[in-house]
Amino acid sequence: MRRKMAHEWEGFVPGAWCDDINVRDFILKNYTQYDGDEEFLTGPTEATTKLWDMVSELAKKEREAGGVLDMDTDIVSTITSHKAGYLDKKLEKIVGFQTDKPFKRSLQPFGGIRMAQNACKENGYEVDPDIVEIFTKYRKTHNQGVFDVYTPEMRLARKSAIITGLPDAYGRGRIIGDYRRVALYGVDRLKEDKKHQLDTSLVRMTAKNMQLREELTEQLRALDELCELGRIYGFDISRPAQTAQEAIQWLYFGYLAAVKEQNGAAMSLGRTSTFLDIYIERDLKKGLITEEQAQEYIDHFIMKLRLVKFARTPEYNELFSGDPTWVTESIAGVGIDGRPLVTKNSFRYLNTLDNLGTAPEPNMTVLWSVNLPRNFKEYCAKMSIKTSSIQYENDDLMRVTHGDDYAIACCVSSMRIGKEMQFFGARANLAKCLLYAINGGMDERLKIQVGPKYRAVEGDYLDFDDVMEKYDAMMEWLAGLYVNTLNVIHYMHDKYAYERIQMALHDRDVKRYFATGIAGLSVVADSLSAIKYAKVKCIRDESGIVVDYDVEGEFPKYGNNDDRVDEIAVNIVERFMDKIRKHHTYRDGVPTMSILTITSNVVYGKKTGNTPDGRKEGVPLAPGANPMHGRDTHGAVASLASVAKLPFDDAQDGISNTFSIIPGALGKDDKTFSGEIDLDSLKEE
Amino acid sequence: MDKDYKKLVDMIDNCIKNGSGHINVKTGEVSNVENCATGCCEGGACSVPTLHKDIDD
Repeated sequence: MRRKMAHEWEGFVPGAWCDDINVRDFILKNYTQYDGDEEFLTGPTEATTKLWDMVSELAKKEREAGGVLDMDTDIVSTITSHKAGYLDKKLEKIVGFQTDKPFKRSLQPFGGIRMAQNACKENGYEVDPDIVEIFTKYRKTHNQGVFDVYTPEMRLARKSAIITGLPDAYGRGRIIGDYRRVALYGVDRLKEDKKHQLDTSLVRMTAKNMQLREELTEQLRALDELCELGRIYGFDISRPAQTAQEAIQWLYFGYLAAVKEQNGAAMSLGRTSTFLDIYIERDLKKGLITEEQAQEYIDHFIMKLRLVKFARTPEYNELFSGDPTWVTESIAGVGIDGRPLVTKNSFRYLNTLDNLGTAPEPNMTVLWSVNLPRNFKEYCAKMSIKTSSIQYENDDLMRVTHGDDYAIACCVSSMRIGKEMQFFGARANLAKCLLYAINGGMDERLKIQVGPKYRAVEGDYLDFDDVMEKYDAMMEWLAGLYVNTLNVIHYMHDKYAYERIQMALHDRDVKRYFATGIAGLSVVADSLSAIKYAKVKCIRDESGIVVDYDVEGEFPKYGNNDDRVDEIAVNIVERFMDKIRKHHTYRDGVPTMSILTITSNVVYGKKTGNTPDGRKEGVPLAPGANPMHGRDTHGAVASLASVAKLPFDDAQDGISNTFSIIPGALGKDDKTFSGEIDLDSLKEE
Repeated sequence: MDKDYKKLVDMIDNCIKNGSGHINVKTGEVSNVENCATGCCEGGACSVPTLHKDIDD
C-alpha cells in the first residue's frame, strides 16, 4: 500500500522505506557521504562541560562509596517504573535515565532474583522482602526455570567449567533492537505494523504459533509502554521525529526502554551515527541548528550512554575491571553499492572522546574497510593513539555475510539490525575436553566423573591416533550436552525474561543465530602437535588419573604459520562445528561459533589442569584464536597468517585475534600482543 | 604524531587485508582511560563466565 509522506519526513528522498519498515533504504537514499577531514568539529559547549563535571563528581562519589552510589531495592524496573530523572533538566538536550536519578542502579529480578539479591547484598543493600517473596513464590524467574530443567550432567559440566559463561542467572543480552525505527516512524506506525504482523500470523494453535502470537502481543504492550516512557519525560513519541534533536531523543528512548527491562551482559546500541546524520544535515541545511548544537546533541546522547549501569555482583566487576555494559555502537563501514557510509556524524561520535574525555562506553567500534575515506581513517588513527578507546572490526569480511546494515553486539557478534538476533552462546572449553578424552571423562581437578566413562588412555606415552579417536568421541558428547544446555537457557529466557521491546523493534520473521563458542583452541592445537611431533609422557596420580605431562623433544606451535599445527587447529574448529550442527537448536536457530573468549581465558585457565603442550594448571588459556603467549616466535605476520587459516564459515560469530598495536611514535617500539610487529614486512604485504 | 597516525592507518589496513577480524589499538600511555574495559574485550561481555556462584554448589 502506498502511503503519503508524513510531514515530519519533509525534505527526505522517498522510497520503499515510506511504505514498509525499512531503515536501511532510508539511509541509503538520504545520507550524505563525507570524505573531508575533522576540521569542522567543535568542542564542548558550556552546558556539556557543566553536565560532564556533574557526572565526573558523581563518578568520584560512586568510587568513594565502593563502586555503587545508590540502588533500587523496592521498585522492579520496567519501561515505565520510574518518574523522570535528570542531571540538570535545563542543560540536558537529551534526557532519560534508567531510574529516577543518575547513578542509581535498577532492580532487575526477571533474569534471577538471587543474582539481584546478591548484587544488593554485596553492595550493602537489601532487596525488599516483598519483592523477594513475589519472585520466589509467585513469579518464576529465568534462573529458576533453567535450574528446574537442568540435568545432573548439565550441572556437573557447569560446575567443572567444561561449559562455562552460561547466561542462566541474568539477561542473556546480545539482541540489538532497531532503535532507529522509533525516530523514523514513531511508535504509532510501529504498532500498526506489529498489529498487522499479529493479524497475519498463523492461527492454528501449535506451540510455535502460540508462542509467536503471545510474543507479538507482548511486543505491542511494550510499544505502548515506550510511548508512556516518552510522555513521562514530556514527549510525544507516537509520531515520527521532526528534528535532529527529536531523532536522537526518540532513538534513545527506544534504547532506554531496553536497558530498563534487560540487564544482559552486552546491551549494544546498533549502528546509529549515519542514520542520525541525515536529520542533522537536514536541520543544518534549514539553518535550524549550528554545528556546535549538532555536536552538543551527540555529546549529550553519548553522555547518557556512558551512564547506563546495572546492578552486578562484585565478582563480576572484579573480573571485568569495572562494570562494562557493552553499549557497542558500530560506526562507518561501506555500503554494498560501494559507497562508504562515513558521514560527519561518524566524526562527531568519535569527537566525544575529546569533548567528554576517554571512556570505555559506549564501545565505539569502527567497521573498517580498506575503502573507507583516507581522512576518516586518519582521524580514527589519531583518536586511537590519543584515547585507546576505539576497536576495529573487519567490515570487508562481515559485509559479505550481513550486508551493509549490520551492527556488532558486544565486541564481534555481527547481525543485521532488526532482522537477525542471536541467542548468546557462552563457551565450551575444548582444552578441558581433551583432558577428559585422556582420562575417560574424569575431571582432572575435581577428580569426579563428569564426562561419559569412556576408556582412558593407557600406557606411558600418548599416541596421536589413539588420542584423536578418544577426543573425537568426547567432543561428540560435549557438543550434544552444550547445545542441549543452551536450548534450556534460551527456552527459559524467552519464557520468563523475554526481550519484548527489543524484539518489538525487529521484523516478525527474524533469523535467529544460535551462538556457540570455544575456548582453548591454541592449547588444543599445541597439545595435539606435541603428541604428534614430540613425545608426551603421562604422569598419573595415585588414582591413575593423568595429571601432568612430560614433553620430550620439539614440536611445531600454533601461531607461526606452520601448516603442520595450523591444520590441526583448522581441523578441530571444523570438527567441533560439524558436531554442533548435528543437534536440534531452540527455535531452529542457525548454529554459529566464535573463537572469542578474551578475559575469561584467565578464569578458564584456572579451571583447566596441566595440558600435554606443557602448559601448567592455572595458566591462562590464550585469548580467542590467539597463539599461546610467547609461542608465536615468528612475528606478527606469521601469527596473523595462522589465525587467518581458521575457516570463517565454521566460526561465523567471530574469530578474535587480539592484536594490540602500540605505535612507536610514543617513544616505544612498535609491539603487538602476539609478538613483535614488523612494520616493514606488513607494508610489503 | 603526523607520521605515526599515517603509519597506524597502514597497519590497520594491512591487518584487515590479512583477515584479522578484531583489532584493538592501545597507546603506550593509557593513564587517561578510566578503565580498560574497551581494551579488546578486556572485561568484555563476550567473556562472561558463569557468575552465579553457589546456586548449584
